[in-house]
Amino acid sequence: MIKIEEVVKKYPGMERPAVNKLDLNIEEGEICTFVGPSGCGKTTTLKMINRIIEPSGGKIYVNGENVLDQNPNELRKKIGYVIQKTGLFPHYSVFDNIAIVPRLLGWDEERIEKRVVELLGLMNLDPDENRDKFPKALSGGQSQRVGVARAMAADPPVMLMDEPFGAVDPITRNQLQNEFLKLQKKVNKTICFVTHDIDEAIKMGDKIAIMDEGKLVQFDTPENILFAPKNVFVQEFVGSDRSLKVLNLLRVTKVMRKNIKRVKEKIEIDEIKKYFTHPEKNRILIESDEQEVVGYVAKEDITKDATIKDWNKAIKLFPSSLNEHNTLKDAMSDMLQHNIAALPVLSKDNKFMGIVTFADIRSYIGEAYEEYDQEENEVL
Amino acid sequence: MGVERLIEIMQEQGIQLLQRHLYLVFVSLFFAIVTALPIGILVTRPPFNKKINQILSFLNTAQGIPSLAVIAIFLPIMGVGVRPAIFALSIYALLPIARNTVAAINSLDPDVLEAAKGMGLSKKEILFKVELPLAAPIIVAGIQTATIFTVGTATIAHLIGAGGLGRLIFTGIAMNSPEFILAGSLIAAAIAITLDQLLGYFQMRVRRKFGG
Amino acid sequence: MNELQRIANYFTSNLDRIIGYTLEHLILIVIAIIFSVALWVSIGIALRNHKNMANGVLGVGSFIMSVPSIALYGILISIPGLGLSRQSAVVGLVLYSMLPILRNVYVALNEVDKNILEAAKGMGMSEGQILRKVQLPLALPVILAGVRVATVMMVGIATLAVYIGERNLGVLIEQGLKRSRSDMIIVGALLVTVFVVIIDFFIGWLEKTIISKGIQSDDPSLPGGDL
Repeated sequence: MIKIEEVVKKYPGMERPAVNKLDLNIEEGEICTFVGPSGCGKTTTLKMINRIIEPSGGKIYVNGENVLDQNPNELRKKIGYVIQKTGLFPHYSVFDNIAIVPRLLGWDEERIEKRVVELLGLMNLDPDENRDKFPKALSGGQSQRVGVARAMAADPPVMLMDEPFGAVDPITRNQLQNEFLKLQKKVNKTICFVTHDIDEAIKMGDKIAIMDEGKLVQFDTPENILFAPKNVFVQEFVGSDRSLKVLNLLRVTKVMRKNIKRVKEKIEIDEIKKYFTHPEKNRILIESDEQEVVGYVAKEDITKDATIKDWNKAIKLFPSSLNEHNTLKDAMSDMLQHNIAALPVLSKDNKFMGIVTFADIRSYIGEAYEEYDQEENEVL
Repeated sequence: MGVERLIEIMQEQGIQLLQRHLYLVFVSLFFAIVTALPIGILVTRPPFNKKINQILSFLNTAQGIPSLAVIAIFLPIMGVGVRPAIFALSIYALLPIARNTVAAINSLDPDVLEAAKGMGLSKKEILFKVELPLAAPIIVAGIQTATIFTVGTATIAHLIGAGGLGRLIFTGIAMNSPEFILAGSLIAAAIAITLDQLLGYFQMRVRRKFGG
Repeated sequence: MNELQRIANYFTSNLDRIIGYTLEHLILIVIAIIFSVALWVSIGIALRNHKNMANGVLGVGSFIMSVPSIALYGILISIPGLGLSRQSAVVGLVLYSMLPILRNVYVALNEVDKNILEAAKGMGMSEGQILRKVQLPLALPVILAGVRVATVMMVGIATLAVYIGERNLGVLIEQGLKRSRSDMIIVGALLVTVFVVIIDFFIGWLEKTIISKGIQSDDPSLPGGDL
């Protein structure tokens, strides 16, 4: 959908080009995050796609057409553009701000009315409450949402976003990121997203383009970048905690164990020992009288000569639970906090789904790294 | 229009009238500054500072009163001559200076003042060491404006018998003599421009010194 | 209270003339404002991206402002072609309004938040569209403030124009001074002052009505003029 071919940007008087022979392809419906240290050329690249900055060399194709052959103003009306400080027109109401491009394109007012109300809804902003407000009356999060709505107003297939969530506090930023990802599932646009925050890049991107000093260093999926960083620069940029970052990419449901035996607190110790002789069975769940899962016992704690006393000591009650949207990072964090090695996963309506154990997380990640190393070795 | 005649007039009468003109201007400015600054500062202190917006509004509007009206009104009040003229000119020049003083002090960053207070500076010290220096460039700009106004209004002072370059101009208009008109106009214009440039330069120096 | 009675008397017995003078005053100002706004706003827009030229032109305006108005009138009527006429008065008024209007236009257009301009460009607006829909509306408060300052100034300068032939409210003062009639002077001075205040308020009202609520300043004392 977006093809960047040998694109160069050189400013007169500067030693090295701001963007140095960039080559990359972004598929339709993908979010590609551009990330890198200050001055790496990520924002310059973004701005060349809609020719806010003119390329010095190379070609850029959007939807098959070379952007350099098009009238810049017409080009930009077909591309959504969101910048960090939003640039909302202070003299226009929220409604009029969002309606700008549709009005420039000559849509009739009825269509515009429908579209603006729809967009406000998509952005979780009450249309009636907000449509007549002026930007100065909006909070940071609200402004950013209106900025995104405005960029999407004419339903462009492509969107360029330059640190769109940078100007708000971390809590709001997290909210905005989640909302946007949900939105993208519905609208499926092709998006270039510039950020300086590697965590945001990993969270938001289907693909990540890591840049340094004007050059593309690695262009890959988040998993590949975390599991197999191409060089030392990427390794360091991603951070020495990259295996922990990987945890953030995976949902608990990936590692969850489902069919586990449940017993009530009062048991026959011999039956338990017999159960644990099976090599794969290493956990038993404890059920309350209301048939709710309240805790577990690990195989390691029940030796050959364990008694009921040992059983009672071995019972570990679950201090909290996870939901199906939590990531492995959330799970690890909770486990560490409560000093426990397993936690239950509950669905939206509080139904028990399975448990996640520390051991399982460890082996999953470990095996993944082994696979990557194997692949690398095969290539070599 | 005879250029020689023009120069002749300028030399014969222009210089004398110029002296009177400058006298009117500087004396009035002196009174204006001496009155406006304290008044301006006073307005920014409690209890007056509650009404600062209204006062600023009033000063803005008052500045718009036509100079002719201000000069003329002193005739019934004080009669003819230099004294009423100086009164009128002082009051007129007072307005922009007071307004700029008030506006400048009012627009100072409250954080700076709070920091000064927190460092233990007394109210007097804050006024003289913080507020006035920071407000100085704008106050000087006000004096600049006042000076130009005063040079201009002083030309009308002739109408209440105070003399000055206005005499040449008004006489010239009455006699339909371009030489007289230009003699007065050119000299008045020249002074105005010169003073403006001088004060502008001074303002720039003040701005540099106090980081306005 | 004799003095007061005399004044009130003068006012009432000359109401017709006074209304006539007021009208003349208004007409002169309206003509001058129309020319001024048309001229200086256009030039301000044309010069918006040319800093050095703008500074030069503004320098000229500043220069003109420092010339006493009666002196400027004097110079203007000495120019063949102008002479003792309404044209001279209008030219004088227009020249005087150059600085407040032109400066405010230039400064306001250049002070529009760069983020907003970039967003507008990124949305596909042409330069003309950006000027018309973004820059000018956002510059309007400051431009109107400049027009307000200029207009108020004009009332005063127009009053002086009676000395070059105009017949407006200034006549009362002029004749009053000539004939030492304090009642005329006082009525004239009062009327002219009231006139200024009314015009000032009128433009203030215009500002509130025309300017988008999204950008109205919350501080009523700010004139945005010549600080």
